[in-house]
Amino acid sequence: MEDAPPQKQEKSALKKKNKGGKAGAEKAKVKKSERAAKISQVKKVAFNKDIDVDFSEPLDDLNKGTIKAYRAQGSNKMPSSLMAFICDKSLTPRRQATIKYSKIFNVSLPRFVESGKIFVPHEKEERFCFLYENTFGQKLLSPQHPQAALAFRPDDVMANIVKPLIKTIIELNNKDMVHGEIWPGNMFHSGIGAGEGIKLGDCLAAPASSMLPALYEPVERAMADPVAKGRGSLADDLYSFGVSLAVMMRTSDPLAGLSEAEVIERKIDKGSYTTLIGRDRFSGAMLELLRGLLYDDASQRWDLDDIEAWLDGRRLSPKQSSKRIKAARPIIFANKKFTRPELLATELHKQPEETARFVENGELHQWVDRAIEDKGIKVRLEQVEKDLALLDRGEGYNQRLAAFLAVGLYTDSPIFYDEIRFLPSGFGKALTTAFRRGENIQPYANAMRHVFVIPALRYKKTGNLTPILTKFDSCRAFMQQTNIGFGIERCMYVMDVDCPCLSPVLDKYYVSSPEELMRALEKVCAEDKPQSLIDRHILAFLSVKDRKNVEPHVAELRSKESYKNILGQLQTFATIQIRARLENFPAIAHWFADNLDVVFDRFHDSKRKEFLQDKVEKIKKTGDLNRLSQLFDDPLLYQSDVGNFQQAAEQFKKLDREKEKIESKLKDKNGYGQELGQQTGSVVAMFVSFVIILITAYVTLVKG
Amino acid sequence: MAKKKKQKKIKGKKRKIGLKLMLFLFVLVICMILFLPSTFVVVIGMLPTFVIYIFDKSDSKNKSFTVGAMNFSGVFPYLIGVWKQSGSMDLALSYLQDPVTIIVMYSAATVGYGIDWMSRLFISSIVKEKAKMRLKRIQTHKEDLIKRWGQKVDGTIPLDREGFPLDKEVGTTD
Repeated sequence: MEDAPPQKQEKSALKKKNKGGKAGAEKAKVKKSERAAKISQVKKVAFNKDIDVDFSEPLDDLNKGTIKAYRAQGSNKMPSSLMAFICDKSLTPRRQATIKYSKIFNVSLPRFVESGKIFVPHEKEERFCFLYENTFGQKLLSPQHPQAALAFRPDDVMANIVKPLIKTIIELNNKDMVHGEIWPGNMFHSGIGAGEGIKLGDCLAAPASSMLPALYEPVERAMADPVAKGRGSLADDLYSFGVSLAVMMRTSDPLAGLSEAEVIERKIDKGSYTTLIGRDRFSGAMLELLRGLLYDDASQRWDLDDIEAWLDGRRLSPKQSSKRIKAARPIIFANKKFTRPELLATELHKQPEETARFVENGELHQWVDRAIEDKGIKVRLEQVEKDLALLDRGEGYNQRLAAFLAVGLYTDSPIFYDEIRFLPSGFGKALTTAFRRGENIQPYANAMRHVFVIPALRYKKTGNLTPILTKFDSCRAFMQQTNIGFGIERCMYVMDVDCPCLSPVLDKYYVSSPEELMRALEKVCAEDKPQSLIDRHILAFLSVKDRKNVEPHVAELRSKESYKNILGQLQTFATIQIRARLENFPAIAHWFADNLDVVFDRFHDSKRKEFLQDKVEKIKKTGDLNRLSQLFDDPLLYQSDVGNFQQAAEQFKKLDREKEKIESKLKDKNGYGQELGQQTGSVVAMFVSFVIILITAYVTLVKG
Repeated sequence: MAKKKKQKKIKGKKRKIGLKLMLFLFVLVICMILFLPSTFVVVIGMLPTFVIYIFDKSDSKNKSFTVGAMNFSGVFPYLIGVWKQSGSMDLALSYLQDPVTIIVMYSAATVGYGIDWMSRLFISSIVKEKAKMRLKRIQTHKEDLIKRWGQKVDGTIPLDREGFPLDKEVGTTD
């Protein structure tokens, strides 16, 4: 380590900042900027006590687009030569898959060492990073040229690539994991021979398949937005592997100069094998493997059993490739001719008004009925036309109609809606990525708000869609509620389970659990004075990640009464602190102490208020949020305060009445006290009279 | 009409003298006749009391009691003199003809009047001072209540169920 940890530096700078006064504030400003400059100069950052990441040593050859690689150094039991992938802020890493990946020990996979958040000095914020043993070697193919022809000898490919990588794919599959980035740009070799010591690169630092060029994806996945492809399947990994083999072995690139859309169009038109191989001719065994892996129909594509049988030397009879539907005559849509329903499906969302007209005048129905022989598509289209009644006819109807029709024409396709193209399981990652990139998220909101997605998903025949349908159903309910804790924020965390908390308050921090949230807020409170510690994002995040502990306080957190809100926040954090047995948080406690005025104002009794203020002042120094929360967690506290206040008010009224009575009596100057005076006089007179009479009687009768 | 009839009935009832009172008056008149000399002394001697009683409009007739008690203490020595002489009419008349007797009797009544005046003056001033002190204590108590519970405890501001001003709810965000 060349420098102290940045967190410590920040804390010490903060302590100095609090010394008050204008001059103090200016000094603090200067120091803050000095500190920022100092932090940005920090080169080595400790990931943990055994690993340091050296940001002065970028490993540009290993970069994956916006995911940057840096050299890292291990000590103690850790391998000394490490490398770190620093994730892109806008892309959600596959944290859930990390556990599975870490349990795989395969020579063709880089050894996973650690993952977690790290402070990136030049970005001045925390990022998620993955640490691997640095045994990558050189890339087989430059990522800048994914469509290439490497002209490797089939025997070398068979020995150095096919066999080891098939084993790797089998192991990944055994752990129920999809790699999602199998392509030569993510394959590394030791540099001795073509593909010798082959290794598959990282697949965790970005959403599955988001870094995979469209060429290596089956047609329906290639059509989706890169981050909206979802997890994928073994069949997709095998297809990518097949394309990779084709690229490695072919001697010329038949797709040179073609755009992604043109490649997809050609794959639909001619099939993947023909599109990728071009004029190259391969030997029988390799030909079989390539044909088996490059079937466009996933159900026909070779699976692991087929590959193992092939590796054992058994020759498999080629399966009958199901041909894509082609119409007898083309249909003209938006001045383009289409003979393939799949290609038409990809165009409909671009011209929603034209699509609506297309459906209303029966042109599409007529074309499917007369020019296409496939009965399945006719039945589907009829069903779609019936289901159109389910669509909300309000604003954006034409776009929903286009999305709906597209799924009817091409069930395996992504959903093409407005500007977005997503496969159901990739929706969440696409939404969070768009949000983090500041892109328009309205289409995502509309897709969740309107019911069209759910029936559209039901047309799809691939995979178990029940979980994603349930999620869409829940999100539709969340979107209908505008309260804090619901809305699109809640949908983000439901749809993308790996998504960190995206609250603006935590902009500099990577928060993926309630515990990390607490620690990040502690730093935020030490640096700044945020207006609120629980905003829409934080509550939505906690509602998904720690529902049991947050749910009891949601009513308070949604309350418009600020005292309830602040107490709700305190109780929520106190609950998390106890549940996770976390350390104390003095900065958060100070923040609460500074913001509890609204709560104190709810007490009528100034003595009780002072008592509580004194207690808060003492507890805030300890940072024990639970104790702080318990101070206000007694319903009797409020009830007795209100009860005593009402008694005091009643007493005040009585005093007022007594005062009025006395004053009115005092106004009667001659009358007040006269009656009592007379009574007293009577008593005195009677007594005196009685004494006189007794004396007289005694003197006269006894003495006289 | 019905009201008038009722009022007449009430007046009729008031005018009717009860049997007990009738009996008492009868016995009194008999006694007065039987003890005529004493009656003379009492009637003449207690004349100031009777006058005061007539003019005393208060319900409690405290003044009459005060004057009456003292007046009687002035009449009693002569009355006992008459009783000592076995109710001699001559002695009673001689007492009444003596101005000293009248002066003594009426002076005693005057003393009673004085006692009434003095006690009213003295007691009412004490009561007034006490009331003023109580007012001060009330004011202090009210100030203490306001200090502890806030201005709203005085009841001049309309409050909600929990005791907070209705127009400006405490701890509410805009």
